[in-house]
Amino acid sequence: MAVTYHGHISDGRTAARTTVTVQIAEEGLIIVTEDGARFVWAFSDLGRTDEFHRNLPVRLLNAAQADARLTIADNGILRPLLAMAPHLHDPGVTGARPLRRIAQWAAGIVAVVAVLFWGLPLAVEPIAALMPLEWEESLGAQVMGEFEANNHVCESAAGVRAVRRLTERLTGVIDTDYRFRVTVVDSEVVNAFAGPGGFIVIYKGLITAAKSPDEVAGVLAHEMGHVIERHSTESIVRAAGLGLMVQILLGDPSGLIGVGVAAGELLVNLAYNRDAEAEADAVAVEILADSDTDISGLVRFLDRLATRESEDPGLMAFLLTHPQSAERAEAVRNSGQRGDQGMSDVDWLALRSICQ
Amino acid sequence: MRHKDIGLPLRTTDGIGGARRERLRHHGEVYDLFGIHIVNMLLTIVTIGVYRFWAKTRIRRYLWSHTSFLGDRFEYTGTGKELLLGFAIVMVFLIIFFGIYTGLFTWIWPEWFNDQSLQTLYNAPIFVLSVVIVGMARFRARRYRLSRTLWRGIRGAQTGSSVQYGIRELGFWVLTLLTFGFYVPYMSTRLAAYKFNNTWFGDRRTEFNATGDRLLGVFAICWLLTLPTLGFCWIWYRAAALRYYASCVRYDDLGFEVDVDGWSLFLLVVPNVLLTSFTMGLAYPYVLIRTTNFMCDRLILIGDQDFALIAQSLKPRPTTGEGLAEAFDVGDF
Repeated sequence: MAVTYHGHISDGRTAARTTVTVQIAEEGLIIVTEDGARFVWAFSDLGRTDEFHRNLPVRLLNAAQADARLTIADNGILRPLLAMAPHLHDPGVTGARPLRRIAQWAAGIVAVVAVLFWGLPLAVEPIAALMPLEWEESLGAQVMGEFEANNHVCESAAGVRAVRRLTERLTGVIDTDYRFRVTVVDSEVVNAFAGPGGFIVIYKGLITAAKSPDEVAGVLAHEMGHVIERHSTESIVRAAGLGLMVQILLGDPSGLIGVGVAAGELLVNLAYNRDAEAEADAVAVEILADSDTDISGLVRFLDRLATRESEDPGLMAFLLTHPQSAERAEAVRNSGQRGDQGMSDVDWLALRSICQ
Repeated sequence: MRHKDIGLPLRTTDGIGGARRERLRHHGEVYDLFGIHIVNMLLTIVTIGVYRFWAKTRIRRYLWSHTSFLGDRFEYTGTGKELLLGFAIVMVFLIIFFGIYTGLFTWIWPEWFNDQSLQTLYNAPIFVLSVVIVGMARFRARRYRLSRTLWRGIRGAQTGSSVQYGIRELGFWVLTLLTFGFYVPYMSTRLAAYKFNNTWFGDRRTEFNATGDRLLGVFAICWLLTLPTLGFCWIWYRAAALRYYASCVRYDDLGFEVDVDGWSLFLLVVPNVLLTSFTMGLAYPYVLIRTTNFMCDRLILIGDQDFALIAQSLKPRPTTGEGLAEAFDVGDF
């Protein structure tokens, strides 16, 4: 004896509804209207409009007539109904299998991460190359403005002249539109960096750590390499692009996801640092050779960094931003050229006391 | 196609007879929605944000399917995939547009990057355009939601052009600026008219007959009281506008009434804002449920409607959804 359930149906053609009784039979749901009209919804055609909710009537649709809706007031029909039409169990209304759906999501996330970490960096170089020189200089001026506000710039007249002479000597041999502006700041940190558009900063600590002028000349040529290869501009474009992508993905960068992305950004930048250092070294070797400056200065400096990195915490800053000194020293050494020290003894003394 | 034709006898026993007053009912529970919300948050984090389209869909499906009218629950048939696609299409379009615009601008004025007045020149069209686009975004989001909202298997729809809506909104804003804000009641009335005269359920549309004049008095009072009431008087203006607009909407044989006054709206909005700002989103399900309850309790449909006369909508439906609203962050939930 089949149980009779009460409910109502709308045919999907108008917004009217009709009271019906429903029975579960072998061939499907047998639906009978008040007026005695009888029709069957096959189990295989049954679908649901949303999740089944406790305390709410059961609502079903029929794949063969998608806009029609059958509502059964008594929730008790669910157990026998699900026994006959187990596909209605599926947690997703879309019908995809859970495992497959997880796999699809995983693939999607991998694709997103791939775009972020490989696709985006690929686009960075061409975009940075499109940037007019004036933009780079403007960016650099902004960066330097902030930097100089927080650091003491060394400007003894003789020291500044010495820096200018060294800069002119090195840039005299290269064909570039960049105007190099080299600043020495009063800090014991052993480091140097190149901002966008030709701005180069050398820390006093690096000059103190250098044993001879050609070492400083080597580092300066190396930083010029960064400028010419637009590394700083590229990293700004990369950060901006990543920021944009994150904003696009999240709608609003906040909370845990933001932190995770920042960590990822650091990783991306570190990975790109490696290649950038090698590129800058290659340019430095060219500059030094063409200006008849002794390349062994750069080699010695890199060597010293490689051997003393554990002993001298002051070198850590340079190493963090200029990784893998030993290999780089090797690469530079292999290009083995010879020249002079790059600076007169007078200039070298003036440079060493530029902060006094 | 065995059941192509169920051949239902047309019965109209369930119409709202003799100017009956009927309300929507909401059966949602904070507890249930909270469960959905927590899972949504976790999945959104795990998927670096991509899940949020499916998260929205889950929330909407819950709210729609727990709201009923005359014993039949609404249905939300939108999908996360549609939202994602809509968003992706808009993003690609925007990036290409800004690339070309910036490229052309730079080609004509390479020095704009360093020049204050050229920067203003660069930003001005973007600003004007974004007013239009935000209007478009809202209108298009509304179209998507209506087209994915069903009751008794019958779909909603929205006709009209989003571009026209956005351009109108821009024009109205210009008038508003020129009139020190006093065009606002006319602007909102005319925008509401454009929306409601293009809103369909099945094969019939709603009609809207309102005039901004009726709100001008309340507007003027609020305009003067803005400072002394710290702006809270605008909640009272909003309530007055809601009441008036509802009374101006007709759908076939149905009229509408919204039973809202300033205090009740104040007690809805202010706690909502506080709850949203101080609970890091955890109170979001509660805010949604109390807002939905508020709307269902206070919206009254009046009239004698024969639902057998309302046939299925044949209006075209958008295939993707709400990309612009997502991109400009104007989607409500």
